[in-house]
Amino acid sequence: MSTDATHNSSSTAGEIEKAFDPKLLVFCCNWCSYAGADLAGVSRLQMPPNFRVIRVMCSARVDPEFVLRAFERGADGVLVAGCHPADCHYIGGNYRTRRRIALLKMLIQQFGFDPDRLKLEWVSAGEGEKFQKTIVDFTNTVKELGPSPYRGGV
Amino acid sequence: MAHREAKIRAALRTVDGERVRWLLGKKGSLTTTGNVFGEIVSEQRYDVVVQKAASVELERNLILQEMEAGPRTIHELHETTNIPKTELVKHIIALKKWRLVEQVGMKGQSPQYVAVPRK
Repeated sequence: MSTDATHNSSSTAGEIEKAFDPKLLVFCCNWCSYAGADLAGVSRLQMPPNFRVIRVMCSARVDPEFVLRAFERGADGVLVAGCHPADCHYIGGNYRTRRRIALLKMLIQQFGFDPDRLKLEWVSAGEGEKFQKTIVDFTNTVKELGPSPYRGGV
Repeated sequence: MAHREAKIRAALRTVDGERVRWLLGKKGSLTTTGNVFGEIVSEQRYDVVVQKAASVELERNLILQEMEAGPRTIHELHETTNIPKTELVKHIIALKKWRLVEQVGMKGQSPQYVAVPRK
């Protein structure tokens, strides 16, 4: 009985480690990254299914509050995807995003979150492969980091 | 966990705060055309300034949140926020200067402070 219990506990820990499916939130700008994500989809590029996309008109629409709320409500990682520098539909929105994300990375560190849980990436409408690669890399990074401190992780 | 939630709320106030928003909005002009004296701030210097401002604002917002719940002494604030007492005193002096905090009485030998309600 005790042997079974021991065996079960060790296998459960291993299973949890294996079964950890990170919850990722991806903010995509309407003009570039969302089209990039769409291209990745119609090109049938394989991606892990554990991310949810929120379309925003510009990456600068992503208020720091959205990111903090996402972490507060259990997201394991947040990715903000926008147009390449100088390609912003609204001229300079992505520059603002870059500043905010740098600030947020510093802030989330103070709550015990690894700054790698927050990522900013430039993805244009023609970069379906880059979107897929970014998602795969980000998922692997978050899997390595483990669950968010809000979900019982470290 | 409660401490972490308090920090999240303080961070929300920090990113909404005038100081941090102003610094973020002025990056372009500060690092290219310079300030009113024509002094151009380097990117590295700008990053240091923003990080320092955000860190200070985060601590001040944590303190303000605590004091919105009721009068607190420096010792009580230290216990709940884990901010060193010397730093707390500096923050209280700054917050008093901006009329965000006022002294309401004494608890033993220690003065008690409370957050001034926002208009």
